[in-house]
Amino acid sequence: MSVVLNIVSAFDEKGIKKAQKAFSQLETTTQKASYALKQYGGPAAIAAIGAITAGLTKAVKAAAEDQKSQEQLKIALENTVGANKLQVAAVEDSVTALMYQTATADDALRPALSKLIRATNDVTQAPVSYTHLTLPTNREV
Amino acid sequence: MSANVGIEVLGLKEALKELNRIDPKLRREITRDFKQIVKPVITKAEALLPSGAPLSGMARSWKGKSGADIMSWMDNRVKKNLKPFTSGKQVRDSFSGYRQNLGVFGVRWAGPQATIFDMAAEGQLSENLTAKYGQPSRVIYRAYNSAYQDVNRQVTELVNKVMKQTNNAMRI
Repeated sequence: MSVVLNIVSAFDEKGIKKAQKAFSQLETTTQKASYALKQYGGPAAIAAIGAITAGLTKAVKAAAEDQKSQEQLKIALENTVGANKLQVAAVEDSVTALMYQTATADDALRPALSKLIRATNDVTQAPVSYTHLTLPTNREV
Repeated sequence: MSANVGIEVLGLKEALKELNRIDPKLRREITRDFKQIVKPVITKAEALLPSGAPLSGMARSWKGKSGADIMSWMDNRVKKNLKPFTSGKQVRDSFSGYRQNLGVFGVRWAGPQATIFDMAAEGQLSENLTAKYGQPSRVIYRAYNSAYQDVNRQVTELVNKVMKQTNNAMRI
């Protein structure tokens, strides 16, 4: 029987080695991920992975929609006013600025702007009409 | 009864073992250095020891079922059992699932008298000890706490020295 005060002790790597061994025995990445989640996160973490996957699917879908609306706006600008790359980029910048100013999603702004450009045949007139006509409607919705 | 209060180092036991193989003199020097480092802790712990039995009943001879002496308190014996250690023993699992021999540098106070006096926390005996000498730990951790900053700094230097010596030897 004794009282021992360990001032310096050996780092016990038994637990780490055990985990490494179990981890290396798993075959696929998915198995590894679910093993780690079971060890450290439990069912809640697995549910979270489900939510992340669903979230990623939504994000991919949103990105595709965003890309589509950008393409449509670009086509509208090129066809109606013969805009070049720089002008398209400038309009894109103004859409982004308008998005932050009005808290309206850019993929909602672009189709409306495309329609106005086609109707007015004027890049400078379209955004003005847009802010006066479209945005109040968006806010009301 | 043991507790880790300081630093954990990976591969230090192996390094000490290696050092013992390469240069036993240097290995013994490490032990001497460590003794020097923890001297303030030992001195403080000895100062915290009571002269004579801590409680009057502890002066009596208590024997366990095996007939081994649990108590009586003898100042010299109790004092002699308080010493620093340097251990290169291999870490192993105890039958109860705990890891044994993790300590490399430390202070050990051996004997049932030490354990009872230092750590007793329940029952009438411990209440009487607490009333007279304070809460557990009454000696060893208290002594360490009084000098831990210096001790830890110097021990870290010592560990670095061991690691450096071993690495140098391995390079040769």
